[in-house]
Amino acid sequence: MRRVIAVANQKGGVGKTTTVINLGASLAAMGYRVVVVDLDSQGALTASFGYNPYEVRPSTTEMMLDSNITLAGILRGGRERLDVAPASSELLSAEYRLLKQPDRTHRLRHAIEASKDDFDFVIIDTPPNLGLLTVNALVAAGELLIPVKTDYLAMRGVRPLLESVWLIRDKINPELDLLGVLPTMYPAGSDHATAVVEELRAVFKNRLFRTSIPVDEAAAIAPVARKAAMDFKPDSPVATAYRRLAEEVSDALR
Amino acid sequence: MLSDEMTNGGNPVEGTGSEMVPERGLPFRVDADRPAPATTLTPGELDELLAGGAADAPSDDLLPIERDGGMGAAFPILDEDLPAGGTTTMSGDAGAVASLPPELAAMLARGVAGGFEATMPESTVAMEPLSPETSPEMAALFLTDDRLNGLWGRMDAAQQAVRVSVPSLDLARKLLSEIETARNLLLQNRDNFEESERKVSGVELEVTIIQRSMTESRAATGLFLYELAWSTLLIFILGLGGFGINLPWLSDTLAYAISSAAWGGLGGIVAAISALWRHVSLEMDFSKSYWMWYIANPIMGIFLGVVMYLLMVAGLFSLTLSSPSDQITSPLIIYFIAFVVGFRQNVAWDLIKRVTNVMNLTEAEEKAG
Ligand SMILES: Nc1ncnc2c1ncn2[C@@H]1O[C@H](COP(=O)(O)OP(=O)(O)OP(=O)(O)O)[C@@H](O)[C@H]1O
Ligand SMILES: [Mg+2]
Repeated sequence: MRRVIAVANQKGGVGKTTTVINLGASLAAMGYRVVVVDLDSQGALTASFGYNPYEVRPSTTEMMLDSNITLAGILRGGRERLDVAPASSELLSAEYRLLKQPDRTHRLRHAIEASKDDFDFVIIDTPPNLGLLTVNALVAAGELLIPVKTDYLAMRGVRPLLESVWLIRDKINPELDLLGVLPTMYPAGSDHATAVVEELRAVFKNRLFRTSIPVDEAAAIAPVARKAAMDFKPDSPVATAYRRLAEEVSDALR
Repeated sequence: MLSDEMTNGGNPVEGTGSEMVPERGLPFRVDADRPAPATTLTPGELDELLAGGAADAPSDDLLPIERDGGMGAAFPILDEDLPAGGTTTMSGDAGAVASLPPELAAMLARGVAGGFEATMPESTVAMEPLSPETSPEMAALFLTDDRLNGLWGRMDAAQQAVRVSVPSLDLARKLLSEIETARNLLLQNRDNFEESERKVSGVELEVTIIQRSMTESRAATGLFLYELAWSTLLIFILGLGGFGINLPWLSDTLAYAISSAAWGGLGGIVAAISALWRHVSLEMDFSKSYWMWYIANPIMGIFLGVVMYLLMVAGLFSLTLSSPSDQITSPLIIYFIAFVVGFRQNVAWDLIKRVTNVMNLTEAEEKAG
């Protein structure tokens, strides 16, 4: 079994990277073999595991540009049972160079498929736009996880993403399925956020995760310690929430 | 579009979820496959807030997935695959106003004193309904006058802070006009929220830097005293012999070296004091995180003074001094140069680099010859 999950939302700062790190770490803690892939030239995920996006090599940049490099070829250790495919700061220019390639939308898919290693989950962190790298993630993935910040305007931002998903399902990857929509940065006791979650539920029904991720400083601080929230502060609300999310994900994909 | 049946009692966001849905529906089936979600959510608060059956899912057919009736979409990366003439808005104005900074959220929670309506013309507060199902009153709840109020409050606060904390008239004028622009932007159109907020944040940042500089200038006083102590010591040493140490038991060479060191140190001190003055009084961006530079500068000056002396004695300055062979005519020149390199230390590093380059070159020539 190998599941490829793309975590995407073209809106910035909605918790994509935080979700990839902590969902990845929680699944690893449950005993799965996990790979997290950084496709964002900002390298937040990479940095969170202590690698320097300005130096790290080989990275997803090389993997995307050179079809001989597989995902397995660029992995680095992150945590027990969890490996990181780091991004380098050159990924942005790689995106432009990639635009001229005929198989530009399938590079990541091929790199994952060519890796013989046995992963249970490959979780892809995407940049906050709907460019070629995000498309690569959506083409490579069987499952899409959409983190949505629990406020009204952030919720509205989901539409452009869904429009692209339509296109990708139509033209390239009809298997792409919605793993779920994840409410993030849920402020305790906010009526507005509650209403937004309700609305998400009305639209996404069974595909809205039961778990919401609360606002919790631990999520923001953990990367400083180069750790997932799980390992940094296991009892924090955010760690608990991501553990529950991991259970939901593992149940859903069983 | 969601139907009218979706009512759950005065929920202000109700029905707006349809704004997430592309015209041809969701790209996924969302009502099948998995067990229905329990009504309990993490965090626990949601439990209580939802108590009362608000979470009952509406009937299945609200979002028919009509894959053929929709519009084509422009997606640059897939351009050639697209049906001709299709366009859609990928930009999504939604992003424009979205994320609230924590301060604003906090203000929102506190409730900002002073009504927004009182300060803004009626027409700018009103907004078009977000969807046919949404009544203007409900829409107004989203528009979150609260948020606008919050930003408005931040502008007031920033304005006040500029008045209180910014001593430079020019800068204060510039900052106040930034705030004014931010206000106008917001008044013109609520979609300008983000840009307006960015301007306000910019002003807040400037004010914060100035305020920090003010609180940290106590550290500046400490550093000033430190520089003063050094200068007293060095001047005392120099005073032992007019412009240069001149003790009977000291060899000339050593006396020159010590004096050069002292002059270099003085140069470093002057540089440090003038930097203190500039950052504390003039630009008001003093930050005590530079303390090490201030501490190190006199010491570096001393070292550079000695190095310069040695270089000159070694005759390596043939380019700058008339002739290397005759002993340096006046020690005053050495002292002057020592002072200058202490004061402008990067000039010194430059000189040292040039000298080493020259040496490398000569070595290479010797080898070749
Ligand atoms: N549950 C949370 N509680 C508090 N802060 C959070 C939470 N989740 C994320 N954050 C913080 O919010 C910021 C944005 O999160 P994150 O980097 O995960 O978003 P992103 O969608 O990956 O952003 P980008 O689009 O820029 O890549 C980060 O500073 C992160 O530490
Ligand atoms: Mg990110």
